[in-house]
Amino acid sequence: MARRITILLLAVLLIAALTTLPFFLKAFHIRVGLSIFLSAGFAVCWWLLAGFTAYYSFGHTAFVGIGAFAAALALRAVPEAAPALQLAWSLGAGLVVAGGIAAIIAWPILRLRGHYFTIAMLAVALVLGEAVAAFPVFGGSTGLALPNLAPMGVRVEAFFYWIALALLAIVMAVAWVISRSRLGYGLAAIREDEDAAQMLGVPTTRFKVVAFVLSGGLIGLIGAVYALNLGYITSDSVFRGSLSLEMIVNSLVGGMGSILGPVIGAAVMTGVTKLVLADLLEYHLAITGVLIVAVVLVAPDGLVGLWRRRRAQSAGR
Amino acid sequence: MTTPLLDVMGLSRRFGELAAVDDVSFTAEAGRIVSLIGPNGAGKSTIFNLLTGYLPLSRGSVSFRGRRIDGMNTCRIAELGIARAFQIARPFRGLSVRDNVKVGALFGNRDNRGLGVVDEALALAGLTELADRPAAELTIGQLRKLELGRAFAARPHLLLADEPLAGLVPAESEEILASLKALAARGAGVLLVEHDMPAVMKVSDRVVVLEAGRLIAAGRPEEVNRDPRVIEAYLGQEAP
Repeated sequence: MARRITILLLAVLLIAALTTLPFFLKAFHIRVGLSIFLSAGFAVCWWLLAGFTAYYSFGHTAFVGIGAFAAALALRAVPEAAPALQLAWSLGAGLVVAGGIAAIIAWPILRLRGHYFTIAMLAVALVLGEAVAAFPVFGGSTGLALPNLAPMGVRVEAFFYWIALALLAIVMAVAWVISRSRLGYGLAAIREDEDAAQMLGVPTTRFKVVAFVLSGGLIGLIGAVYALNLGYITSDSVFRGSLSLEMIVNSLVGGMGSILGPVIGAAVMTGVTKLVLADLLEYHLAITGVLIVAVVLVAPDGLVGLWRRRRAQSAGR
Repeated sequence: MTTPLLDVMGLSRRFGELAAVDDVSFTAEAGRIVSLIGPNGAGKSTIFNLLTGYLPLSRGSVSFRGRRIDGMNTCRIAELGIARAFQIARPFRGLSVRDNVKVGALFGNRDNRGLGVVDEALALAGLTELADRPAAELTIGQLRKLELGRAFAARPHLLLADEPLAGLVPAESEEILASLKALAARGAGVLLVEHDMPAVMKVSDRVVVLEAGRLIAAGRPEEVNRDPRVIEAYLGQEAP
């Protein structure tokens, strides 16, 4: 109990410290922080499905795109509303539409397992991206513009930094609560042995659908913030495959074994990319690739796994 | 006449031309241990797969606590209170022993769920000392105990134990048999598939003998032991 209270206090202190940072940082560094929070949020949401159930999606960018376009279209319906109301409306649209579409595709797609599911999700993302590009209501190839919803006197990057930080805290809290719930134990059983779980009475289909809808819906919510921050979206910018890849890489680098893994992975990968490699544009992707290979070789369970292993070794000495 | 806990009538399962289980009928009662025995390929594990809904029946019916369960899915059958300990242990390797048992407690029999039973199930299966150990680190004997512990935690009305003694040393076998008897003493029915004949004869209230998918004898252990058809099936010769 005391350990839990300590962790909770540390989390509150960390969030408080991160909240105050924009008052001291330059715009560039605030934007780096914003990128880390968005990437970490996406990775945690991807991990909600993959980490709990071992259903690895290569197409979760579909929900980023759905959330982004849902937010953009929702804002067109309330052009005169107060910015705070517009913000809530657009984030709600991202959450509900992405979660709704996840619910519709969940039943058929979760009948697939392993690589079949992974590839099917890749196809879903590609098809949705092409469909959005083809229909004029989504702006076609020219895309859609979104208004600036930051309050007067607040720097745009700081405004979205705070929103992204809040959403990251929320999705981490959701993942933490699930991990300690009956749902979490059922999902862990599915990850370990789906057939055995079913024979023990775990309602595997229902639980997988819940995890998929939560994962997709929450990515849609963060996708709406992603779009509002960009200010202008096209099918290519929000349905791009590299977004799915980042969620996967961040989770693997950080470690799939805990909620902290995707966050640490996103912090390291985004930090390295934006801060260390920012001036090495030609070599940027190659160095990132080498870095990923190095982490996988040295720490196959991710950075959090490596830290836990070292700690266990020290304790065993 | 009271309704049996499990009432299997004319159970059949064909795989193409092969009748893996052919017109088998038997019952199991609460608080009793019924053993299904027979040579390899007799259809014992197939019967477990049929009872748990893992395989559909070709013919026949299965009633559990007076209710037809054939045609239900595995999850629903588990919720009604039938738990299964697998022949080849299927632990959740990434979880600790305690978390494995928690899964049993949180799911399974829906009339009796809750984490309050976890410590008791760990103790009943002889797993208390191993509770915090990762399941991936357990020996074969310990994995067998984990299978049973997980099933005990589900507080089943009926436990299907598939060769729980296979590969165990005598001391471990004794512990498992004691656990099964303790479960039966608490009012649960136990359906046991086992090749260890002395153990079967010692622990069973009734024995059902199968050969090539068909029921050839059923009765109390001492009756079955003397049955010429059983002797022939096991020894390959007619009884004197």
